Amino acid sequence: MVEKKEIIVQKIEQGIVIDHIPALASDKIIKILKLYKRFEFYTGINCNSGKIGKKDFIKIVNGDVSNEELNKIALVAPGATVMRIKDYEIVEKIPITISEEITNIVQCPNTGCITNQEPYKKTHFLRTNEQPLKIKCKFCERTFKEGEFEFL
Amino acid sequence: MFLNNHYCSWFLMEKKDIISINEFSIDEINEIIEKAKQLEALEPEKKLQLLKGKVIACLFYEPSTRTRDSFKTAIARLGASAIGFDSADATSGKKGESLHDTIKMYEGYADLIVMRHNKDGSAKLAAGVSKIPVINAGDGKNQHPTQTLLDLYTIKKIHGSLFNLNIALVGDLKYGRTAHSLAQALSMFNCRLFFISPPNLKMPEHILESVRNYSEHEKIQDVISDADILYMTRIQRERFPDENEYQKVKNVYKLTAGMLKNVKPNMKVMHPLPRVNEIDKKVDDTPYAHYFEQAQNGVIIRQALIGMLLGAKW
Repeated sequence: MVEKKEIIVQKIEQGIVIDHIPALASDKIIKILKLYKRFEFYTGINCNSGKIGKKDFIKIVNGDVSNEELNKIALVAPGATVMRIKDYEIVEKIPITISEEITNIVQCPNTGCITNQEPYKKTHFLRTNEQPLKIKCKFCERTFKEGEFEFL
Repeated sequence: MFLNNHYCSWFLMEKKDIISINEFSIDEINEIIEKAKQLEALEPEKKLQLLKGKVIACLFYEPSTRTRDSFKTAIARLGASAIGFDSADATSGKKGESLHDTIKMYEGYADLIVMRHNKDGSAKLAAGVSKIPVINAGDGKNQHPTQTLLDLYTIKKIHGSLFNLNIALVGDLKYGRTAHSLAQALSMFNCRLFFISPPNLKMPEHILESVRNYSEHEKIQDVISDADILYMTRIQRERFPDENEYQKVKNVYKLTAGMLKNVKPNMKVMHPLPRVNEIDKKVDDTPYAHYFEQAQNGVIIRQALIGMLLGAKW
C-alpha cells in the first residue's frame, strides 16, 4: 500500500501569507499589489476550506505589506487573514479593516465623474457602511457597493 | 485649504466654497436666507459698492441662460466685474487643458470662481485645487446648490418657515439634479415629500436613501389638495439616452388652471424653468403661479452667496 502524502504549497521561511481569500479573487490581489513585479510568491486557487468553502491563498516570499496595501486587500477580500511569517512560524496576525477614507485606490465607476476625465487620476472615497461595504465618491457623491468598483 | 478669517467673523457658514447642499446645516441655510433678505432690502446704490473692484470668473462649460445671466446680473449689481466663457468650445479645455490647470490659471485672474461643468464632482475638484472660493453652478447630474438655496429662499418667503411643509415634486425625478438637491434639503427641515413621476423617471435609490418621510405617486391629482408647494420640473430631453423613451413620457404631466380648484389657499406652483408643456400658460394668471418670482430670487441669493464668500458686509 502506498502512503498518501500531499503538500499543496511549501511553507515559506519568511514573508506574508494571505489566507481565506474568496475563491478566484487572488488574481485581483496579485494585480493590485503588483506582486508579479516585486516578489516571488505561491498561490493556491479554489482550495477546499472548512471556514469559507472554497478559498484562494497567496504566500509572498520575503515580502511585506504596507497599511495602504492592507487597505487594498480589505477592499477585495474583507474576510481575508494576513499573517507575518518568520522561521516558518506565524509571528503576527495582521488585522485588516477598510479605512474610513480611501484615497487613490479605487476608480470611480460613475463614467460621468470628473475623476475619470482628469489626467491626474486622484480619487477619494468615504466608507459609508462596513457590512455590507458601501463607499461614497467625495467628488460625484455617488455610493457604490462591493463588486461595483475597480482599482486604479 | 485657504480660509481667510474675515469670512467667518459674522458668518456661521465657515465655508470657502459652495459645492453641495449636503454640506450645509440648517443653521447655515437659515443664515444665508437671512443675509439674502437683508441684502434684498438694501438700496441699489449701496449694493453697487459692496464688491467694487472685485473680479468674478464665470466658467460655463455647459450652456445655461438663467443661471449664467442671474449670476452675471448679481455680479454687476454688486459693482464687481465678470470674466470667463459661456461654452466649452471657447476654452483651452477644447485644446486638451485639464480642469485642474484651467482653475489654477483663473485663480490668478479673479477673486472668486463660478463654474458650471458637465462632469459630476467637477466643482469639488475645482474647490480642492483653487485658493479662491468656488461656487458650483451645476456639475453634471450631481448638484446645483444655488438653485436649491434660491428655492428654499422662495419657499420661506411664501410660507414664513421651511419646517413641516407638504411639498410635491413632479416630473423628471430621475435625471433632474434640481429635484434631487431640493428633496435632500427639504428633508432636513422635516418636510413631507410627495414624489410624482412616471415609473421610468422615479427618484433614484441613492437619493431615496438620503431622504425621509416621503411617498411615491404617478398622478398629481393624488396629492395636490395636500400640497403647500407644487414643484414642477421639465422632462429633460437632453438627458435621455433613448429618444423613444423621451417621446413616451414627454407630455405625461400638464398642470392646468382647472386642476387648481381644490388646492390650499396659500399653495404655490414653482418651476426651475425653462418649462415646455408641463404648466399650461393659463396657470400664469392664477394666484398660485410663482415661478417667475422664483427666478428673480436667483439674483438675490447669488448676490448674497458671492458677497458672503468675499467678506462683504451689509
